[in-house]
Amino acid sequence: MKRYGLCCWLLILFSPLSWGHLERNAPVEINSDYAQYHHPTGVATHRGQVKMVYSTTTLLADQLDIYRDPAGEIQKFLATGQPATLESTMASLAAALTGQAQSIYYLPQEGLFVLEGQAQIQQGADTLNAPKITLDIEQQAIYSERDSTSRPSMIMQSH
Amino acid sequence: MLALKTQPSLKKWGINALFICSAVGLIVLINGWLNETLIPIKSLEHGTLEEYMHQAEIRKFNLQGKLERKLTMKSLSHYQGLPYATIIMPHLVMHQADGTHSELCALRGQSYYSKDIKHFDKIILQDTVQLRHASKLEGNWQLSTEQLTLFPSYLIDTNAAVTLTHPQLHLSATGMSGDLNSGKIRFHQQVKTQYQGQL
Repeated sequence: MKRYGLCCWLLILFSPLSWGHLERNAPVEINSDYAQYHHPTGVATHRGQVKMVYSTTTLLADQLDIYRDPAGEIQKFLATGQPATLESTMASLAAALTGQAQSIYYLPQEGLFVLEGQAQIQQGADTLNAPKITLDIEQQAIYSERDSTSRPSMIMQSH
Repeated sequence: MLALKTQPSLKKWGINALFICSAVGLIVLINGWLNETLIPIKSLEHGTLEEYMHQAEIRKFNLQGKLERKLTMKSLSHYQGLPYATIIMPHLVMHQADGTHSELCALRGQSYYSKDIKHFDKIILQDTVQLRHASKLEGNWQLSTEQLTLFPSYLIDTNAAVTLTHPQLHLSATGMSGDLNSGKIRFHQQVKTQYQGQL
């Protein structure tokens, strides 16, 4: 957001769009056509029909890059695609939450999923579009930001 | 007279017995040596074995005199007419600049080398091929497959199924290639990865 020199719009949406708990100890499973690992940098890259499953959340992408810190801990999963998609089917959600963006990254240490570039999330008939949407697992909150060309828009259907 | 008649006979028997014992002893010695050095007796009979090394070790040092690579093997044998030498239990240790080291080993291999035996073209490792990397910081990881080709400049390649295990990671794939110098590994097909533990 600082990059665009604009203020950040914060939308904390507890309802009707809602996020829920992930099983933090759950394994991350990744399937792909091929993969590459560069030991000095610790970066692993999966390409081709990438599917990442973490607890009840599934990411589909063309490419998934995994970044590690010098101690070998995973810092970031970065999924990119045309678009990359996310689907969560947590029991606490009334309906499955789906999202898509040009890139989706998961920051395990912060517990954040960030959708960037024509980001959209949808739950039931409710839709949020924004340049950037952040899903906070710990706070069970959804944040959206604007950039220089567009700002968030939300469509909520009456229940 | 009896003594005069029996003396040559006893002497002859003694010589024969000594000869037989010597022959048996020689056979036992040769057989023992052959078993010890693992040379197939049949190959010697046919005279096809051309070169043989037992418990060989080759070391390579860098310009500062530090050990870079060490290749050991239980035996290496080359048979006439074959373009490769058969290696039993090859074990390559590669010391990295960062203080870590990697090991590549297998139950057997075939070394294709130049005629002056100074350079090898490739080594095909077979049966329980393992590439291990030890690091205190990142933990140890091990890559296993049934066949792997090692090229000069330490490029590796296989079309076989591979698995990579690490305390927090399990990966399986079909086919792999890599550069042991740069630490870049590529898994070719059907890659399945599982990261475990708290992320």
